[in-house]
Amino acid sequence: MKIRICLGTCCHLMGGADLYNFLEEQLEKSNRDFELETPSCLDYCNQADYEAPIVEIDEEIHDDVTIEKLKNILNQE
Amino acid sequence: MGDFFVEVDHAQLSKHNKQVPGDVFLSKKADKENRIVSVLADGLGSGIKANVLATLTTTISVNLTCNSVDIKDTAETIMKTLPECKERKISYSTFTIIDIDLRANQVEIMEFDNPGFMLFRDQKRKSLEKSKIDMNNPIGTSQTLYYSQFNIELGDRLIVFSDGVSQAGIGNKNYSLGWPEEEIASTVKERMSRLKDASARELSNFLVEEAHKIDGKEAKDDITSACFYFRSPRRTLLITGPPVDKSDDYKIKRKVEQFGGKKIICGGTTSKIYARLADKEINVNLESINKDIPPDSEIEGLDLVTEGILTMSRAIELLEAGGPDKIDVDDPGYKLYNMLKDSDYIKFVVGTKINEVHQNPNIPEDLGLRKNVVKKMAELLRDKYLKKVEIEYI
Ligand code: FES
Repeated sequence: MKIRICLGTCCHLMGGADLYNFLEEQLEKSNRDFELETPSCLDYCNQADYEAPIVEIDEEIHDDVTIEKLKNILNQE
Repeated sequence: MGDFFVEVDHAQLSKHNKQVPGDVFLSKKADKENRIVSVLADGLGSGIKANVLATLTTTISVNLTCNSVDIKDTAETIMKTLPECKERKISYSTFTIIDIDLRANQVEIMEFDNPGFMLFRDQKRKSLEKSKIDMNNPIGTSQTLYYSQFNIELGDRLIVFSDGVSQAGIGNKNYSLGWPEEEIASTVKERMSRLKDASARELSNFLVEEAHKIDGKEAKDDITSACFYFRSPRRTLLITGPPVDKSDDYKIKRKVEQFGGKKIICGGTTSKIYARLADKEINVNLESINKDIPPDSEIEGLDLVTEGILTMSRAIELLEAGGPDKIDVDDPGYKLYNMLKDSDYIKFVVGTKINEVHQNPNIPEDLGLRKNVVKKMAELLRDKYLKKVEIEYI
């Protein structure tokens, strides 16, 4: 699984770094195989239908992501 | 800016148990920074009286020379004006006046009774011919001054010091006549060969510390040393923000390529534009994640790549405070602050495309205004840190 957590200005301000910390911890605990990236601005925060922070998982965009939301997505996968 | 940047600094220690030094060093820039006039004066005796005399000497001579009075005439005025010791028939204050003219590439020096200056070129001491000038003091006693002049070469270091240095250790077994000139020169030379890029501050501090050691850590006199380092200016380019017009994106790459000096990009979008055009990879610096501001990255050919507004605001905070309480070398804001602080000339290239990102209602409005952040940073660098700053909008 490839996860990209946006750490651009907007997403960082809206909690992107917390998501990264959470995922890094998960990565250490679980034996799931995921690749973690932290690009700068993915260019969604300026689009009306999206809200920061943005996370891209296997090329699918998720917006307004919280740790809860992230947990749910990961459990579904 | 000319070919040279002159780094001037001095270090000083007062005579043991004296609060006020009798040595005074003063330096002033004039003529749009193309001229630097510095004076080291040593007032007779020590303590407050000596300090007043030395202050008088430095202030008058710096101001006169800055106002384009010939260095010899300045010296003469000082000789005529200064009171002198009735018993000892000597003037109250010794001095060295240094007049640096960057346009003419020339340094003139007038010395009266201070230890002789030292010029180092290519790690070697360079001796210069001095012409002797006799001047009378008010009661008619003739005094000898020395005038010298040289053309600046890149990398030159000029060092002046008070007799607290040359007479360090006087009376001690190994230094019955003080610290010999050749030994001072070789100590400085050795230091420079070990620390090739030693700053003016490092060298002057070093010399004062060495003299202090020779004095057995109890300065017998005020110990003062000043250093002038003629080096190429440290130039830094800071690009932030995408150009208004997408068709101007190429300018970012061109600016980076054409600039001689350190190169910084602050801004995710801007760095992506550069990486795309220059065909380089962006590697996020994982050490710097988890901080209060977004991580920095590495792109070949650039010295620092950071996020924009938040990182610049953090650097502004540090510039305002004069540094962090606790140094965190991984903090991108600290890295930026450090690079700017170490530069003499900073060129900002600011892309003025309105960043829709920051029109997000969740972001404080003033953060969104890149121009304001740059303006504030430039002002601080210019006014508080005396840097030469230029801003170009694209
Ligand atoms: S900052 Fe994350 S999409 Fe723009």
